[in-house]
Amino acid sequence: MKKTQDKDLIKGFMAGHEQCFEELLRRYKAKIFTTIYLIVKDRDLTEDLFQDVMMKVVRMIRGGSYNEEGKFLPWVIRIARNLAIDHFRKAQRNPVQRETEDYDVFHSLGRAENSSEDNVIMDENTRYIKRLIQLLPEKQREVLVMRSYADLSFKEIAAITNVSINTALGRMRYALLNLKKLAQDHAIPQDDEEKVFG
Amino acid sequence: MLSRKMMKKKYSDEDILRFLYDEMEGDERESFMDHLCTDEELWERYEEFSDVVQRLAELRIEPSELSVEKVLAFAKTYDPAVQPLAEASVRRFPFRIHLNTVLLLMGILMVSAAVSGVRKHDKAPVLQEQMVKSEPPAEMIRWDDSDLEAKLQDVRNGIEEIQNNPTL
Repeated sequence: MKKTQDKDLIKGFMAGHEQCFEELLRRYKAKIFTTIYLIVKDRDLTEDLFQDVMMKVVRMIRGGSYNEEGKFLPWVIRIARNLAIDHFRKAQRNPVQRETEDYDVFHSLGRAENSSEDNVIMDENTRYIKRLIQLLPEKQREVLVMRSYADLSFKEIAAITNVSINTALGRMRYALLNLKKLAQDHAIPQDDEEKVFG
Repeated sequence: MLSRKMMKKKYSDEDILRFLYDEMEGDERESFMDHLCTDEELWERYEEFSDVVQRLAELRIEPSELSVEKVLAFAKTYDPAVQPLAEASVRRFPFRIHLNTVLLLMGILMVSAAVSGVRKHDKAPVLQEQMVKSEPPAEMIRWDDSDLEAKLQDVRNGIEEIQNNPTL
């Protein structure tokens, strides 16, 4: 059976068929949620932002504002990224942290750490990978999250982050190499290292 | 015919990433796969990245059921023609500014009235004293009660004259 395309599901939802949105949500909820989580690093905040993002998606599709046919996921990820940036801007009205023009949500990641994320039920490997990702430099982490979890192409990432495709590819390369190095250097038991990154 | 070794192409790490993430197409992809099978150095680099990419794919976090239910409920009930109260109040932002301005002005007026009342209260004994000491205004001086009595007397005389003379 042929899988219904995103654009057809969106058209169906625009026409009032809620089950089309349900299918879109089923397809992408984990990718969207994981992406937001790796950006904000806080489970409760991720739940809130996830709801905000999806409600905004509903409003925009139903309101006729959606015009990126066939590009549903990159569009949603862009909304999620912007809402996360808005959140940090509202939460941290500290001029010292916002003095650079290209303020990036990923600069704020470390500050949202250690709240209620312990609620997340993950096995050791998953926790370990998550920890290593959080140790990456912001720009590298941004590209890695968007490529590996949001399934955005390097071209789409380049457009969202306002860099060239080669820059996006270069950041991804460094992110993967750094992850490998972090797994070897970081104070994690040797068994775990080998288990995770061979 | 050129041998495979002579045709060997140097692929960058970025090329490997494009292949790994399925962003290499057509002839380029075919050529890369050919090289991957024969170029040991390329294979080693490919494996290095491939391991990490595969492990990354294991990380998958799902939203809570409650979040999903809330979103679905919203999708079912949302009607762009009928704005929820919260949204409507956001859209009426200028009205809220207007209301706040009115409240602020009322507050300023009340404070200034109170201050003015206190000042008048402070000056009241002085004013009273001035009123006692001061002469009546010029118009009040011109007012003469005897003049009024004379006019009243004229009226009374007229009435009496009418009563005494039935022909009038």
